[in-house]
Amino acid sequence: MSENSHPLEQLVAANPVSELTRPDNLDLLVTRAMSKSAPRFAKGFRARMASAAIGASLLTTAGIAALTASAPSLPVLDFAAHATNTTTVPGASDLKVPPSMGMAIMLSDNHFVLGADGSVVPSELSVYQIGSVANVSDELARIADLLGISAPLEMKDGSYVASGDVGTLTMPVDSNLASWNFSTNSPVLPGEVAKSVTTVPAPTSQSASPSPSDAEVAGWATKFAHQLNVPFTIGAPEVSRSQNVDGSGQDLFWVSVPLLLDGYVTDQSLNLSFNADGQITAAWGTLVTLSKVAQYPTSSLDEAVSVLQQRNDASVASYRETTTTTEDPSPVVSGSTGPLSSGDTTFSVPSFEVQLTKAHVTFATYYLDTTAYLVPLYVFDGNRTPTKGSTEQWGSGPGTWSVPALPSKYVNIDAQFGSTPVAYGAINTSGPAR
Amino acid sequence: MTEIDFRRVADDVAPAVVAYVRRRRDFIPHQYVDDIVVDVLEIMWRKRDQIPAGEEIPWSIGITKNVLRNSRRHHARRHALNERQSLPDPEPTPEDRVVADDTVRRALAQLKDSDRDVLLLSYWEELPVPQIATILGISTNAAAVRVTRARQRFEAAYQEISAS
Repeated sequence: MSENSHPLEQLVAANPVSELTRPDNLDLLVTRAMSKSAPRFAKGFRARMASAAIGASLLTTAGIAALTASAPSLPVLDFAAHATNTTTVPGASDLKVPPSMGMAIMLSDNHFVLGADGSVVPSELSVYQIGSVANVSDELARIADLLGISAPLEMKDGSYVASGDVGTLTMPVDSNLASWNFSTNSPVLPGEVAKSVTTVPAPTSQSASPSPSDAEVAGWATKFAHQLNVPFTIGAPEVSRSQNVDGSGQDLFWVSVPLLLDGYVTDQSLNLSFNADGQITAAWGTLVTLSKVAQYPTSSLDEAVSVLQQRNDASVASYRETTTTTEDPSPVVSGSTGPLSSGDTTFSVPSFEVQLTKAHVTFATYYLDTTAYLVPLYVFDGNRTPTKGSTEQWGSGPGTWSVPALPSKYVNIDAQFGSTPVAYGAINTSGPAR
Repeated sequence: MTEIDFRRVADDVAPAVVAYVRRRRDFIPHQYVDDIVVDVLEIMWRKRDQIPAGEEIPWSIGITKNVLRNSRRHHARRHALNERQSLPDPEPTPEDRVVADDTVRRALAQLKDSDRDVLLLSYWEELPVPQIATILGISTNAAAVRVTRARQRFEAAYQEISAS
């Protein structure tokens, strides 16, 4: 060391990675992450059937159990309680986290109060099973063609890949939701709109304007979405624009097309980006089929809030039980999903009152191993305030809370959800709970 | 947060996650880094409505720390099961292997894990104290104190090694 060199300067100079680099394949990594990530109650799914006629058509899914004489006349979806980590991701367990890992930051003890807002919910809702299309490669080739890729589809590194002059379409073979992703060969990021891209012609011929209106862009997206023949109803696209991101004066448009089921929003969507010339510069979606499992009578909102409260209470009880453990109790225990404590800080569970203001119906995706189901939920808007004597941290303010819309005699869940706000997919929440 | 919003967030956080991993793992295969990024993004996607706006990077670092820690535990357990014996103790910290400067490496090795952690968050990740506080789940004041103490301990260790 020289006389003048400061230890901290040497430390900075020793940084083995001095510059940040965006992974070249980030679009694909994000698609992988989102396709892996769907709300999961637990893996122990089983259904009991009381109707042989219904059962004959439904008892084909692994995990569906035998009928019982006393069962109601509809399939019972029993998402069994699994206290251990049910995800494939290290560190993703919602419960059973050693207290030193900061779980308390994520956990709160909520008392839910249902306001009289006049929310109207339907008397019946269905559950759907998500399946694979009959001929994946043909359908992907058709999507590639829609995107202007003329190259043939091939298998590469565990994915279907069609790569042409205009861009690359990929879909992991083992993707649970058959999530496909298209991006131009020059990744389009804010600040670098790909000028040289000569990709999909705009679905409309009225794109002469250098800055098309949001309605015009929405029209492009809707037309493209209909061409995909998705098994959902196409919702109203949400358009956002990045203005003049490359200094050229051209805008880049990001479009999320919600995919609806029985008129309700789902956590599935088609996503596109267009440049101002109406060319698709990125797109991702899913390639699936839907089949109705059954139609059920729904819970009342009071019943749903009761389930929400029970779930909260179970989570808090589980956490408090965990905090009495002084040692990492088991090799299967995973870490927290949020900010970490340093290992020497103890948190208490903050206590809140949650005033629920409005209920919406939405469909969310749940898995049994690799089989996905769309289950109707009530999503409550609400506002959370600390109860008297509680130390406010990480939780006050608006948020959303979700619970299955079907009675527990048809859909049985445990406290696996946790009691923190949960919102799914395209549901527009009022922002992160603060 | 829509999927489009999340992809923008991913653009911000993924480079920081990759750098964090590479600063702490030598000779890590490209595929393994990808897997870690996917794991981190998957957790962030599920928790997207709980992550305060503007705090995506410290959250991503916090999650990455946990993913790496669990990965290390997993491999350690597997090794122990396979070999039916304990791992050598003490195992060199990952930072020990990636730092080329011998004096810096030895000074870092003398620090407690918690000191080294907070020091590198400050000087390698270049995170401000409030974001370090978020990652560690402590108050800003406590984080500031830890950074200061870690810096002092590192400087003392460095000077001592240099003088010897």
